[in-house]
Order: sequence, then C-alpha cells, then structure tokens
Amino acid sequence: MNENEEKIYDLIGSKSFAELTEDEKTLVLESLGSEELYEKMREANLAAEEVLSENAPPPPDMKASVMAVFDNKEEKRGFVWWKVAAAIAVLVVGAFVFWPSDNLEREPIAENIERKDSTNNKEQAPKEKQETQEFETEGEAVVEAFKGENEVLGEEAGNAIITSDEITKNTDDVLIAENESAPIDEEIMEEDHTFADEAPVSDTPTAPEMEIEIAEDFEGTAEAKKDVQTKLARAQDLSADDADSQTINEFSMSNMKVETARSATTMQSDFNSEGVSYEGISLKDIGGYKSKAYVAY
Amino acid sequence: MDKGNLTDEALMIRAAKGDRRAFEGIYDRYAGRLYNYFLKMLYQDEELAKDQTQELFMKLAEKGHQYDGKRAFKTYVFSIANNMCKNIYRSEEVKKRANTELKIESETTESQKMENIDRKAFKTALTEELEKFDSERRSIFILRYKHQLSIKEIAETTGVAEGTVKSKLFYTLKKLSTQLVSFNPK
Repeated sequence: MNENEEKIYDLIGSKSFAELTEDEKTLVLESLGSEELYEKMREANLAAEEVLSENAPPPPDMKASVMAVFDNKEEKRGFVWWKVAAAIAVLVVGAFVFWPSDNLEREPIAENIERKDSTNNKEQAPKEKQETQEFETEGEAVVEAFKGENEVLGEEAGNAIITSDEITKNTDDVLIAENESAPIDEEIMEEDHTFADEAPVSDTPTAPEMEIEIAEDFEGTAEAKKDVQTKLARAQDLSADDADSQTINEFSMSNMKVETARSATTMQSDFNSEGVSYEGISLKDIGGYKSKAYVAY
Repeated sequence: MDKGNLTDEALMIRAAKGDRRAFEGIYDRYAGRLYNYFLKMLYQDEELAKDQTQELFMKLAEKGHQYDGKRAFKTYVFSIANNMCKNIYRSEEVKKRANTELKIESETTESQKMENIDRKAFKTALTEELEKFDSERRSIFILRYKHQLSIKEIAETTGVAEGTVKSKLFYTLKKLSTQLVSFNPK
C-alpha cells in the first residue's frame, strides 16, 4: 500500500489522468477509487505550490539586530583570543625569566659566602694576630717566670702546658664530633676547608713552638725584659692555682682560635662579630675567653 | 571574490570563521524563506515568526562552527527551524488543542462556503487546513510546497524516510482535495 501511495504521489506531480499508462490507471483507480479524485489532487498540488510560494517579506529591522549579534559575538571571540594569547605570552615570559634566574641566584649566594668567609678571614686574621701577640707577651712572661726564678712554679706551669695540650686534644675531639654530627653542605665544607687552610693556623703557634718563639723573639730586648719583670711581679702575686688556671685559659684560648679557624662554619656562626658570646653565654659570664671544652669541663 | 558566486555551504563556512559579509550573504538568502517557514508553521503569527527567525540566525552566528559543510546548508538550516517549531508546539500544546477544537466546529460551515471563493479564499482555507495537521505533516507539506525541497531533502531535514515523506504528502493532498472538492482554483 505504501509503495502504491508513493507511486501515485509521483504521478500526480508529473502526469494527468489521461497521460497515465494502463497499468498506472489501474493502480490509481485501485488506490483512489475515481479519476475525479486524482484530478482534484493534482489541482490541489499545483494550487498549494502556487499559494504557498508567496512569500511575505521579512521584517526590515530584523537584519540589523541579527548582524549586531554576529558583530558582538565576533568581538567577544576576538577578545577571548586576545586573552588566551596574553596568558600564553605571560607564561612563556615567566618561564624564561624565572627559570634561569633561579640558577643565576645560586651563584651569587656562593660568591657571597666566599666573600663573607674571606672577609671574615681578613677581619679575623689581624684580630687573632693581635690577640696572639698579647697572649705571647703574657705567655712569655709567665714562662720566663717559670724558667727563671720559681722552679716549682715553672714545673707547675709546664704541667699546665701539658694539661692544656690534653685539653686541646679533648677540644679537638669535641669539635670534630660536633662537626661530624652537624650536616654541612659540601660546598660550604669546601669553603670551610679553604678557609681553614687559609686561616692563620700557622700564625698561631702551638704551646711548645710558642715557648721557643717567645724565647727567641723577646730575649734580649729591653722592652721585653721590662714586660717580663712586670709580668713576673704579677705572676708572683698570683697563687699557683690561679697561675695554672690562667695559663690553661690562655692556652685554651689559643687552641680555640685554631679550632675556630678549622671549623669556621660552626664557630663562625656561633660567635657574633665581636666574638664575645657563644650560645648565649658571654665571655663575661665565664670570666674570660675559654674554649668550649673548658666551659664544659 | 563575489559572495553571490559562492554556494550556501561555502558562505556558511566563511561566516563561521568570522566573515561578516558571508554571514550577511547567508542572511539575505535565507531570512525571507525562514521567516515565511516560521510564519506558516506558527499559525501565521508574525511576531513569533520574527522571533524564531532571529533566534535561528543567532544560533548560526554563535554555533556556526558546528556546521562542517558536508551536509547541504538548506537542509541543515531547515532542520534547525523544524526542531525549533517542534519545541514551540510542545510548549503551546494546550493553545493548539483549543484552536483545533474551535476550527473543527466551524469546519462544515467553511466547507460549504468554499464553492464560490477565489484564490485568496483557497489560500486561507489551505492555511487553516494546514494548522489542523500535526507538526510533522505540516512541516513536510510546507517544505515541499513552499520551499520546494526535494523528497530527499525533506527526509534529511525532518529525519523521516523518503517513502514516509511521499506517503504523508499523498494523504495530505488527498485530504485537502476532499475538503476542497468544490473549489476550482483555475
């Protein structure tokens, strides 16, 4: 049935009833029942096409509003593209600016550390020299006193020197243990090593060397003799224990300086610029410049 | 290049890329046809037809990039229009029923008056008859007789098989010719 309707519809649009073949006429008559209905359908088909083909003109103001929508949409799309492009540009610039700057900033930090260390070396070296000289002066006086006039005192002073060596050894152990336990950056270790190498270790004599140096440098000079006499007088005033204690303190201070040079990162950070306090304990509190080992002891 | 030489498909692709003149060309070719399609489909309501035509062109402006050019633009744009009409029918179902009931009551009277009416009367009668059809049948009829779409194009536009389109057109013509039997449009 559906196929017949499709065929008849095609015939209505192309042929009149008279133009149909016998088979087509039979088909039309079977489906529609009459020739008249077929012709009416043809008329309706033509009339519908003609009538419906008449077009009312579209409202004239419609075009302007439609084109305004199109323009607005294009503006928005352009703006979005601009925003996207700007965002990409910012990301790219950011990547180029901040990525390398991160690496570049590391270099100056290392330089600063190096510079600071070298500055510290420079600042520290004269200080230490001065202190060492003072110590040497005092030390010689004491040694001279021990050597010259009071054998007992000299023996005790010698013992004190030996004792100070032992303390130095202990101090080494403590400091080495501290240095080992503290995680130190390799770079800083290197710097430290450099600093330690460059540090005035050689300028600071060990106790036996100091004795020889003191003896060599100051023997025969009138000024030194005067100092020796002054120191001797002072040494006489001191009790044996006080002398021991002071000697120990002074040698410990010397050793401390050496250790300070060797473990710059530890000690350098602990002492302030004037070097008068350590871990919140000022030199005044402990009665002078003493090594950590001594303080602990 | 003259936009008049370009096919509808080429114009639409250009318009989707932001070519204002191409979009204007599309509007000039289709605004009248779409407006009249809506007019016929939406009970001759001029305001509603205008609104729907505008809305359709806005859709083309905003979502024109969805058109890939593989499909004939004519069937593409009429299928959009057809779907829009279906949505309106759904929302105006109650109104439509009320209108249909009123028209059925006056059907006999109008048929009797058709003997001596002229072409204008035929047009009016045809329009009224069309409004009694369901949306699919009406759409097929308007696309066929008003916009001269081929059976294949109507099938693509409405999503109905070609055989079904022909069958629906056949029954529509038969019904119209039965009701307009006394009318002689010659």
